[in-house]
Amino acid sequence: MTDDKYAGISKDLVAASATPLILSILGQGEAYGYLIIRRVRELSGGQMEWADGMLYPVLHRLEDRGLIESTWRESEEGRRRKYYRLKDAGRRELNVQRNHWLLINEMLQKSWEGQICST
Amino acid sequence: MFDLGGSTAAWLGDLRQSEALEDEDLEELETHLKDEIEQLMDKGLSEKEAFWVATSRAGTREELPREYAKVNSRPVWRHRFLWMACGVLVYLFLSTVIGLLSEGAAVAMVSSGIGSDTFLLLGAGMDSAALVSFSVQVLLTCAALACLYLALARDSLGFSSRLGKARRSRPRTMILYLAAVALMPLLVMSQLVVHIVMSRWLAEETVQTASVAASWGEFIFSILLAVFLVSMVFVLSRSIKPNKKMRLKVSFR
Repeated sequence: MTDDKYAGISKDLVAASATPLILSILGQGEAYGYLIIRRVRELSGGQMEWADGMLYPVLHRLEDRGLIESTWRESEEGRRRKYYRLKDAGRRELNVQRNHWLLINEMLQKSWEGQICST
Repeated sequence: MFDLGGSTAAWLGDLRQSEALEDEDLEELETHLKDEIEQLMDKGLSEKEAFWVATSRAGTREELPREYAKVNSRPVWRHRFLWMACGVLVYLFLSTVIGLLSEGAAVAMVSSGIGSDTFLLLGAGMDSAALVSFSVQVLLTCAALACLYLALARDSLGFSSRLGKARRSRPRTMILYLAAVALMPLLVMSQLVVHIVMSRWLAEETVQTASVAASWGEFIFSILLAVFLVSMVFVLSRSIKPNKKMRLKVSFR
């Protein structure tokens, strides 16, 4: 199932959107790595998929920056998992990022108004 | 028959080799892999298929450590210091042993009477005792470096992977630790004993001549060593690639 419409999205764009995506997913409640990956898959309608292992270094970096915190807990199935939770600083950062992305989105929308889309 | 547990353990074992991933990271990845495999098998994939899809989604054994190393600078540095400390230990050990042997060579030359034919170097007198002492140092150092290189490059002893796991307190590790601590003082003491024996049993003139000859040998050797080490630092520092920018791998279906 290939969809050319989304093929070739720049890696820089993916990397840039990783932090706001993770923060906003954690904004809805704590989660462990695998849940975050699944949520990203769902949100993109299966179009965007991260190399799973790359998520964890990003999470650790956010933790180092004091935006999120983590705890090891045993789940109901008896599997030990590391849960990540948004901290207050993370929530503030999420708002800042949200405003920035909305601004860029708005700018692009305005500049595209009246233009004919080829797709 | 596909062995899921064994394959998962082997996959994690490969990653364990990297200093960038700590035990906690490995545990997190393991849980992740199990979750993913479970999910895929619910969709009807076989154990083998689920394993291959899950591991390829996780990232390759080259990519993963690289991404972790960008965040986990502490374990990476801890590992580097570990190697540095090992290097210093090995160097101290080798230089003491080789110094002792080259000095012995100088003493043997002088006391047998061969080492008195003086020739000029840098305007000062140097005799064949010094030359022999120097040659002993060069030969032994080259031999030791070659052995070390072969042992580490082939890693026939599994040294580099074993080094990181020394924290498990086994009695053998304890014995190794005590032996390593005792080695240096023992060596220096043997050096002392040799000096005492020499000053008691050999003529004063022989000891003095031999010690001057050995110092000469050491001096020329130090020039050679300095050239070698500085060149190595220079060459290695140029061959290290600059870090690439942090990137997320992405694929579209």
